[in-house]
Amino acid sequence: MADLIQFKCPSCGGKLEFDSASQKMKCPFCLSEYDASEMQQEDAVLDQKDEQKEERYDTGDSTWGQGETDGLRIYKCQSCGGEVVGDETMAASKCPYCDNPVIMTGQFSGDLKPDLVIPFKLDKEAAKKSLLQHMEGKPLLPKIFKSENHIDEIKGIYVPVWLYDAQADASYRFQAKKIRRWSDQQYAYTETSVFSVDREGSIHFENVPVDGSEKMDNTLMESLEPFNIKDAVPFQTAYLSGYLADRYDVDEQTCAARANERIKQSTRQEFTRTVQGYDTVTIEHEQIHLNEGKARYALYPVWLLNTSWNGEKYVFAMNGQTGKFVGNLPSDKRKAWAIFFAVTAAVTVIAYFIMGMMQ
Amino acid sequence: MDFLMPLIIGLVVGLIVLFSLLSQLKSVSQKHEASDYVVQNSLHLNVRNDRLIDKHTERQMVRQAMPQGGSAGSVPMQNASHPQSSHSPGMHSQGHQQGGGLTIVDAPKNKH
Repeated sequence: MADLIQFKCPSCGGKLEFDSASQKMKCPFCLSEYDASEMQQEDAVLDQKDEQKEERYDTGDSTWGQGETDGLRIYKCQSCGGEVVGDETMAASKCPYCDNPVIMTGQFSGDLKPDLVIPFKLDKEAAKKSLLQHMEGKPLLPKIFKSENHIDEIKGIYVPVWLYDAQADASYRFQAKKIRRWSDQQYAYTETSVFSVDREGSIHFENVPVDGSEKMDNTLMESLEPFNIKDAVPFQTAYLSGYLADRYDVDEQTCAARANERIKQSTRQEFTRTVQGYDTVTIEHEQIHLNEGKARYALYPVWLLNTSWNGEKYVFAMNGQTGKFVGNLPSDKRKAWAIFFAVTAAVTVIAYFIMGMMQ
Repeated sequence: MDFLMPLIIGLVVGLIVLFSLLSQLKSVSQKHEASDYVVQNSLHLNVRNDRLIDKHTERQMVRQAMPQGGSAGSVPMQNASHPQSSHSPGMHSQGHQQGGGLTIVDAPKNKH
């Protein structure tokens, strides 16, 4: 039953939410502000042992039928007593009845406790503004999408990510060529010098992020990178107040494959970059060993904006720390063809006259 | 036929403009590397070795100098089996290294 944390204002008893502008807990009613560290005592419950975690799943006094709660978790709001229903990974939300922010402590206790959290730095208004900017200066975007487009939902969500550190020990053999060309009155000469280039060494990577949530699109998360880990702070539930959050549902081992893939690609690029002064460089042999691997669990701030148009759903996302905004937009096919034919015709006519003048 | 080349140029430019405008609408893509997460100055090389293993020169007849009835073609100039150490004026010397040794080889003399 002690599943939920709700941060109450010590002055007026109102709901406290994390305010991204002041980076403090703020009461929207009496405007009192509190440092997040002052709310640390609430997190003591997170250090409970795993056996106690199981107590958080509560369907006892509800009217749900057998099997109806499969895959769901039901919590009781401490403010109004209303039921807060979420899936197995929901870790922070709002009570649908009283709108009070609620944090499911069981989702962060024991091994599930994140090591780090990057607090939101940008608010909902910034996300709305960025969406409008995102649609500016794009001639192929249907005008009607911009004018008719209504945001169905905006949510600030802490996305669970795994951060990997690793050292890559690598050994490479490249074939590199230098090509020199010159000519005299009769011949054009091409001199090709072929080199065998060996490189061996190591390179270190830190905090390579991999999305640990099944629900969140991995490509969307990667498009929002980079997040600045220097702003990360030790995890505290207070930072989640007023936002949504999920706990990870893809484990560290599974996510490691994706991190390794990216680390290997960058190792390849960095070692290839050391082969300089050649016209072509190709890899003949490659060996990469990753070691000193370490993984940490963190929560990254993301604003998600859902819109629908013409029966299709469009998802946009904004990095809640840096403001980087991404999301694919629809194209006006008729306008695309019109621009293509107009440019082709104009360039053809200009080229025709220029070539005519040169002859 | 006079119109063909300008049309090709027009189509190519039209396609470039079209694809650049379409690419403005796509901002979601997978990251294939982790270059943002390389620790600064963490690349250390224990082995850094560049060896010349082969050097050869090819020559191609310049079209204006082509004799009547002849055809321009690529002529390899290397002749590693008969290395010579002398240089002929107007000829290019080339290095050819096989098995670690560097040999200077002259290009065959011009037959014209």
